[in-house]
Amino acid sequence: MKVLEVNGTVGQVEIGGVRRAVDLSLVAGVKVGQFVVVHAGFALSVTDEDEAQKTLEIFAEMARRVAEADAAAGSKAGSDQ
Amino acid sequence: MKYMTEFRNFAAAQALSRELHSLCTGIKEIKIMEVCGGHTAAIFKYGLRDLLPPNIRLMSGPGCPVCVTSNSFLDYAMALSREPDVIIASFGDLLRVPGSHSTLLAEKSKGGDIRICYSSLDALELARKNPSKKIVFLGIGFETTAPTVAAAIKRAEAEGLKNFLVLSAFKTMPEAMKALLQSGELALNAFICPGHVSVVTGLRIYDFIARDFKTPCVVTGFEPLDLLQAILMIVRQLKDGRSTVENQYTRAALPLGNPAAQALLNEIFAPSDVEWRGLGVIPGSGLGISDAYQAFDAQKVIPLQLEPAREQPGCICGSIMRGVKVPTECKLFAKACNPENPKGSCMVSDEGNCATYYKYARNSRTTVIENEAGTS
Repeated sequence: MKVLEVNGTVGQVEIGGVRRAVDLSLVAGVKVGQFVVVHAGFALSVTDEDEAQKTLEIFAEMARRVAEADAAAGSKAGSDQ
Repeated sequence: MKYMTEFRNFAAAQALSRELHSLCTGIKEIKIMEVCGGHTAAIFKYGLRDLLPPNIRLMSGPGCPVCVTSNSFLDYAMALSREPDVIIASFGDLLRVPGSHSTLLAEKSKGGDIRICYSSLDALELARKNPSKKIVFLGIGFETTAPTVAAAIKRAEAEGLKNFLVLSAFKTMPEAMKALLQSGELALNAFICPGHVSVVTGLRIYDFIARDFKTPCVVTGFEPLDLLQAILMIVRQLKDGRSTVENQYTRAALPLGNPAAQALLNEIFAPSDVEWRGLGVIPGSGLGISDAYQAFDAQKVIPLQLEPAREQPGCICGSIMRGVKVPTECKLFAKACNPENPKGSCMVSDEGNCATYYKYARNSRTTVIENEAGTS
C-alpha cells in the first residue's frame, strides 16, 4: 500500500483507490510515496524498491530467454519445412 | 497496483513453470508444505498447482489464524461474552467458528456484546469509550498479529486504561513446523515459509529447521511469481543437496526482520504452552502475556472454570491442519460443511484450507488426483 500522508505515528495509505488510516509506529522514518506491508491496521515493513526491481529483472530475464528460445525453435521448425 | 500486478506477469510465470518442468524431469516426488494460509489461498487463486510439474506436491499447513485456534479458546471467549460488563472485541472471521457448543455469532444474536474489529486499535478505542465495561480483545494469530496487539497493550498502559484486556492464543510458527517434521506423518522435503511472519521475525527463526532437519526453507511473498520462484529455489536446493534458509521476499522481509515489532513481542509476551487445533499442545509455541503485564491478561483478570472442550463430530480440520488429509477427503466437505454454514474452522476464514478448496477446487483436476492418490 502506498503511503499518502504521515502525521507522526499515524498515516493514510492507499491501494486500488481505497484509502485508510494506518499506524506507522513500527516503521519509523517511513516517508510519503513509499510502499508498506500493512497487517491489522499497522504497517510492518517498508517495501525495498531496489530489491523489488532486482526480483522483477530476474523474471524479465527468464521470460526473455524463453521467448528467444521459442523464436529460435520456431524459425528452425520453419526452415525444416 | 504497484508491486502487485508486476508480480503477476504471465510470460514470467510461464518461464518459471518451464524451468521447473525441466529441472524436475526424472526426479522423485517433492513434497513442499506452504505453511501460511495466505499462500494456500494465492496458490489456488492463481491456479499455480496446474503450472507445476506433476512430481511437485504442495501441501497446505497450519498457518491460518482462526483455523488453528482451539475450541477451548473459543469456549473461553464465549463464556466471557456471557459475563456482565464484558464487551468482546474480535476479528470478524472468528465469530463464525464453531466452538464446543456454539459460535460467537450465535452468542451475539442471544445478546452477547461482541464487536468486530479490524485492528487492536479499534478495541482500544472501545475501551476509551466504554470506561464502565471490560473490553476483551481476542488475540489470535502468529508473530504477524501479536506485535499489533502488544502495541495496543503498551498504549493502554501509557493511557492508564485499565479496562482493556487481551485473551491471548498467539502462536509462533517455528515450533509448529518442528512438530510437523517430528511427527513423521508427512515426509516433507521443504517449507515455503510464511511471508508476513518473516517480515516481523526475520529469517533466523528457521535456521534450526534447515540445519537440524535438513529441510530447505524459503521465505516468499503472496503474488504468483513470488510463489513460483520460491518453489524453483526449493527445487534447486534439493537438487544441489543443500538445505538452507533463503529469502525470495527480499522487497519486504529483511534478514533480521522488524526490530521494533520484535522488541514489543519480547516485552509484552512470554513463551507459553498453547493448544493448536490438530497439533495439540505444543510446548513453548504460544505467546502468553508476560507477568509484568498481567493486568491486561483476560485469563488472569477474569478466571473462569470451563468444561473440557469437545470437537465437532465428523470434522477433520485437525488432520487438514497437519497436512495429512485434504479437505475433499472430509465427509462433511461441501455438504453439511460449507462457507454459509461452516462446521469446522477451516471452512470459515479466507485463509482456511477448506474454504480455499471450496472456492477454487471443488472439482479441479488436482483435487481429483489428490483423492485418488490418498494423502495419508
